[in-house]
Amino acid sequence: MGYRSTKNLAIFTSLQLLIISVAVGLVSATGIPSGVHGITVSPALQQISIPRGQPSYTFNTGLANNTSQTVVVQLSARDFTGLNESGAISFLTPQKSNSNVHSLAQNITFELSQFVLTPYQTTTVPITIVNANELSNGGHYAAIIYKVTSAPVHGISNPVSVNEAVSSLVFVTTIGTGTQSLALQYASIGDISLTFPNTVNLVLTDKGNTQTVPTGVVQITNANNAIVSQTEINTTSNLILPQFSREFKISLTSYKFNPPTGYYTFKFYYKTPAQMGYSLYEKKFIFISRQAVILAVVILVLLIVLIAQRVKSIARINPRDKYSA
Amino acid sequence: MKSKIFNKIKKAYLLAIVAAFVLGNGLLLAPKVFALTYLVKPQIILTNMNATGSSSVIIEFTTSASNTGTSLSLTFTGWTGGAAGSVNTVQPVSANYNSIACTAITGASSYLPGVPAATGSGATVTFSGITTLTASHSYCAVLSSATAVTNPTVVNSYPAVLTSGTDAASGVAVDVITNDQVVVTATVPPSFTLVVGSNTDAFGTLSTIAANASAGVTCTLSTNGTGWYLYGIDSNAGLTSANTSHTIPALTFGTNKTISAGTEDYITGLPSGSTTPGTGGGSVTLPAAYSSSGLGNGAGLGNTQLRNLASYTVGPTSGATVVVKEFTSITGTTPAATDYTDTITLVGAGTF
Repeated sequence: MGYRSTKNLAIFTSLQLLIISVAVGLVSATGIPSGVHGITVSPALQQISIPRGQPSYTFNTGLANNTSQTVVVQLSARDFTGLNESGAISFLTPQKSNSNVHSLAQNITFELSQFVLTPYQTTTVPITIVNANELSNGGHYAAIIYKVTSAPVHGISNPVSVNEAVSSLVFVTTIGTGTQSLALQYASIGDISLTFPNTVNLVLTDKGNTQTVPTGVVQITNANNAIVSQTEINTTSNLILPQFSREFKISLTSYKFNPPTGYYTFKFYYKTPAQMGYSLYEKKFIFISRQAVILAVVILVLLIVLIAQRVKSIARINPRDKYSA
Repeated sequence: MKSKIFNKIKKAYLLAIVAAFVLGNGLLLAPKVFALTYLVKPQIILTNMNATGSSSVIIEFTTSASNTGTSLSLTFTGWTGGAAGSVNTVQPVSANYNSIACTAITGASSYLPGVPAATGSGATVTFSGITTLTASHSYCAVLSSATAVTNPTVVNSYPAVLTSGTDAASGVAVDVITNDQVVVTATVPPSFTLVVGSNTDAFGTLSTIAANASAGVTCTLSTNGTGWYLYGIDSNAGLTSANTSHTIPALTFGTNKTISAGTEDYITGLPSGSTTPGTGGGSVTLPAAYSSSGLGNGAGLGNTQLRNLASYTVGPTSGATVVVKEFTSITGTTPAATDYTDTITLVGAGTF
């Protein structure tokens, strides 16, 4: 009995050890860390003004490792350009970067191009723009890319490694060398409207050589020049890149309910930070209210009924006329 | 006889003088020396000290050891109206200022006893409805109207008089200044967070008879800015085996296609049913090239440029997710190996 229980205990313990060793082996073979790999960059974008002639400029960005893993971060800079009208960027290949007049990546240097972030560590990363006095006139921009490098993967067949990277967009203006100029490309206001406009799409283009933050006010006034609805554009301070357009979808705040049918004026005041006064776009439009449409339909129906009755009565008279003739 | 009469008159005068002295002492001098009691540390707080501004008033005082009276009045000396400052006739009384108890503001032990009310007349606010005060006890009250008093237009320190129960009137001062507000400004910079759920995305054993899909990697994106974009680039432009020196190539880049078994191909797709917008609501946008049904369609990433994989432009959001999957197909002659591999870099950026 004693021998059997000792044997059972040995078998049980051996099985347990086997299971544990297999599990440990699997984990170490995959190399998959247990935690996630989130990193935060702040600010995600920043605007820098460098005085004319100043050769270099150093600024800071913050990076946080939100994970329980130690990570290695590689720094690089990459030029970009606008992708569409919604504030997206398109990273440039090195070849295209060379011909980009707004290039900045080549002027960006790092004290450390690679560093370690311990679990939950936050660090400040100093970044220097060198030869700033040699930058061409106008705006320059690039993305600082913080790439978390992963350990090589072993023990999995046909794996795809996934690296993560976050970027901080840097927009530089050299004071006194840039031009900012806005042009309205499109406003979604027609000549006649059956619904009173409460949302408007506006497309602005930066005709200058420097990125700009447009500001402005949209108003709709009635025939007495009283404001019916109004709103401010670009309250989130979005940028327009030079020679690019950006769409602003705005919602108007109404001050008068159920505006009556009539002539209205759409007014758009807009400017760049460099402008003293606002540029003004005005467009008159006719708003036909639902009540007016219903009334018109009712009158039309009545007219049709009257005409139909008239035609009927004429048709009744005509045969007699025919016979009398 | 004459001197007797003179002495009598003299005595009468003396008696009158003595009587007048005793009476005067009793009425005027002695009470101030021997019998008078005072409020302890009275204070008047104007909630708005700005010249030309209007203010509520917070009162606090401690009764003396013998004060068990029921009266209370407050006079802003010289606040007779207009530029000199004025006292509102209507004076609601409360135990709180902006929902904060006056006891918490002043440190007093209790609010005035009874059912206090007050009215203003001239420069004086007179309370009523106060029941017997407790001696040596601190009290507070709030003239809660935002226009309980209108401050003088001239910046200065102004005297006021607080009188309560049997204690003597106490002088206090209230300051009227140019500006009692400090404008606090702060800038919250935009930040961006990218979490990639795993650093590996394994295909396992590849099949020649169907499209092969990786498990997929979930990316979680958060920003307090106006939105985010997710980009991707491939290091090998295909799945490469070092052992066989063979690459399963990505045949096309940036154009959506469905791979088919029997042809070597390698693409990336983001299943449209697996995106969530996070706390910001709205929806995540997948470009046509990389939007996937999850059944083997997507586009090649390539190793020359970062390509847009997903975007969110609604505004701030936390916890938006997308899943990045890889799909590959092979032929019967694809060299056998277990080390086909690729490295994809996912780059997140905030919108500008």
